[in-house]
This record gives sequence, structure tokens and C-alpha cells, in this order.
Amino acid sequence: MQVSDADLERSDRELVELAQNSPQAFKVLVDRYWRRLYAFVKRLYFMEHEEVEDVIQEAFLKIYRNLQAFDDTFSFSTWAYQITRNCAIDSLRKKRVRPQTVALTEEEWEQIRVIATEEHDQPFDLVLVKKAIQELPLLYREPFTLFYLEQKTYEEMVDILKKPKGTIASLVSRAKVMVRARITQSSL
Amino acid sequence: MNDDFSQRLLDRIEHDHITPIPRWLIRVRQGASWLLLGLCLLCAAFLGSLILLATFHIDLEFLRASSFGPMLRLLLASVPFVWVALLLLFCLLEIFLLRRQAHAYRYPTGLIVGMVVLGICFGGLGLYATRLPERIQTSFPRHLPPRVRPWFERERPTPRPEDGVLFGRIREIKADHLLVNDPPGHLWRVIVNPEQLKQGDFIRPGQTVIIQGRIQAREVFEAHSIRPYQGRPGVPSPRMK
Repeated sequence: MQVSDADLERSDRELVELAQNSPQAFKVLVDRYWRRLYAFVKRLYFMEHEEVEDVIQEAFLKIYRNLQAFDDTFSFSTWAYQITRNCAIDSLRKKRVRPQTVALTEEEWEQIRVIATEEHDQPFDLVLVKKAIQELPLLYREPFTLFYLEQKTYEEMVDILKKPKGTIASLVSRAKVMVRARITQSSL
Repeated sequence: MNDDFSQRLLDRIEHDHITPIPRWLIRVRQGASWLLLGLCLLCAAFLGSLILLATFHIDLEFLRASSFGPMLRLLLASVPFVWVALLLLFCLLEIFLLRRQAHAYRYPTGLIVGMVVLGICFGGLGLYATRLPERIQTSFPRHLPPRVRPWFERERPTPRPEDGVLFGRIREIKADHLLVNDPPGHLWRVIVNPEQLKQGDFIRPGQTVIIQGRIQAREVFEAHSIRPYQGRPGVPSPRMK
């Protein structure tokens, strides 16, 4: 069965329904999301290219196996992020490696610099911003990245990170304070 | 990673014959998870009712005479340690299972813990009312090997003189002191003043009393107040030599 143009236009929910009987429909979902999930894993867990590919593949296989368990009170995107995050954390645990470098594209760094400048009302040195984010513990980096780079809402973050809304709000706020403090400290 | 990622994934799905898990199996798994949660709640409620039973076994007169710390000590001596440990274990398991269930992570941990505690309290009270824990508590330890039996049996704790409460039976009355036998069989010299001796006709040999005061020396107790021990109706008095 080949992917038709009509399949490309379908909503995620419809594709999930179709994919239960047709791997081709699943391919449309994969095409729609893998780049986003790739960037998410790379920027959040600082993995090498091969590792990220393994994590994404594992996540999509898990999604495929559990298609019938898809809860349509979630959006597919949130569910995919949730599973990808679990796979990435499992992979980090298995290898017991601590990521060392922040893997963001130039545009993403620019985006961060703009946010930091807006937050602090003064221009920032990109190197300082990079260092400040790099030094954030994973606990804070996850909500910080999801909020500022993935542009996720708190409601989506609740389901992705599996934490109550209040906890996430306070983690984002603390992460912001930590980044700001580190930037100020470094610029002195 | 290049653009043929989805095709490679699809090839792997087809090559490894990977198929979605059937809906019935997912339903069974979800059902089993809820069943486990229900069983945990039932077990925790049952343990709660056993603890309640042990707590109600403490003599109210002893509790009334004790301050908070000694009261807690009485409680801990009365409640079998194994029940408490198992209750905590089931509580933790229940919280863990609840958080794993769909959407439960959306609620604050405090709320989940509160709901679990409330569920255990209501379930425990309900089971206590059926008198089932009473029957279990009487027969269960008998079926255990003697070595582990004490872990599950309740004691009838008495207050300790170190905690400021001496419980015992009057043996002799002297001009300035009483000789009192405590449950372990020690003979205490209880220093009293003449007013205390005159306060009621219950101060006579053979009477069981609760004396509040403090230890002065080894087996010497200074009485601040003395009152007769009435004993709770239906509850046998602790054995005394």
C-alpha cells in the first residue's frame, strides 16, 4: 500500500487509526515528526548523531507497537515526545554517560540569545548564554528547553515530563533564575 | 540522519514482522494494573484496621496519664511492627501505581498521598467494623512458627516509671511512703505526703493505682498525684505479681 496525497493531508488521529493496519500510514506520521524529535533529543540530552538515531528509531518502534494504546485525550505529538523522552533517558541510563556538549544549531542559539536579552533587558554574549544553559542540571534543562525552544505549553509539558503543572512552572522559573544568575556572574 | 529514515524504519518493521500489540492485550494489561491497585488498597486498608485494633487495645487510663512522647511509645509497643512496615510498603506501592496510571501524574504528590491515606482510613474503618481484623489477630499468630510469632502479636503495654507514670498494686502503706509492685514485679518505694494519703479511701493494700510523678532513685518514685486504676470494661487488667 502506497502513501497517497490524501494520507498526507490526514490528521494525526486519523493516521494513528490507519497505521494500526497499515505501516505506510505510520510512515506519514514518522515523516511528520522525526525531525522535531531528533532535534528535541539532540538539544536536550546532548547525544551523538548515532545515539540520537537509535533513540528515535526505538521510540518510533515503541509508538508503533503501542498504537492501540494511544489515548486520544493526548495529542499525538505529546505522546511521541513522552515516549521519546523515556527512550532517551533509558539510553542515557544504560550507557551511564553524562552528555558533555550542547548540540544546538546556530539559529537555536540565536533564539536563546534573543530570549535571554529580552529577559534581562540588555544584550548578551552568546558564549555566556551557551555556558549557562550547558551548566543547567537535566531536571531544569528539560522544562527550560521544552518551554523556550520547543515552544510547548505547560499542559503539554505536564504530559511529556509527567509532572504536575505547578512543579513544571516552578522548574521553568528556577531554570530561568539559574541561567540569569550564571550569565550575570560570568559577565562580571 | 537523512530523509530515508522513515523508509528504513518501515523496512525494519516489515523485516522484523513488528505489529501493533492487540487491543485486548492492552486492555488486559490496563485492567491488571487497576486490579493490582485495588488489591493494594484493600491490603493497606486491612493492615490499617489491624493497627486500629491494636491502638484501641491500649488502656485509655494509661494514655490519659501519659504525655505525648510516652503516649507514642505506648502506641509503638502496642502495634506490631510488621503491620506498620507492611502498611508503609503498600502505601508506597499504591502511590507508585497511581502515578503510573493515565493522567495521575497531573496531580500534586500531596494530593495523591492524601487520597491514598483517606482511602486507607475509610477502608480500614469499614473492615474494622466487620470485626474481621479481630478474628485474624487472634488466630493468625497461632499458625506461625514460635520464632516469628512475637513480631505479629500485640503486647498490652504499661506506662514506664521513666516516663513519669508508675502503674502498680499497693503492697504496704507507711507514714511517708507506699510500697508498690509494678507489672514486671519490682517493688517501688513511692514517696507521698500525708495529704495524698488522705485524698481517698482507695489507698489501701491490694488496690491498683496509677501514680504520676518522677523517679528519684533506683526503685524510688516521688508521687505528684495518685489515682485508682479502674481498668477498661471488657479489657482484662495486665497481670501483676
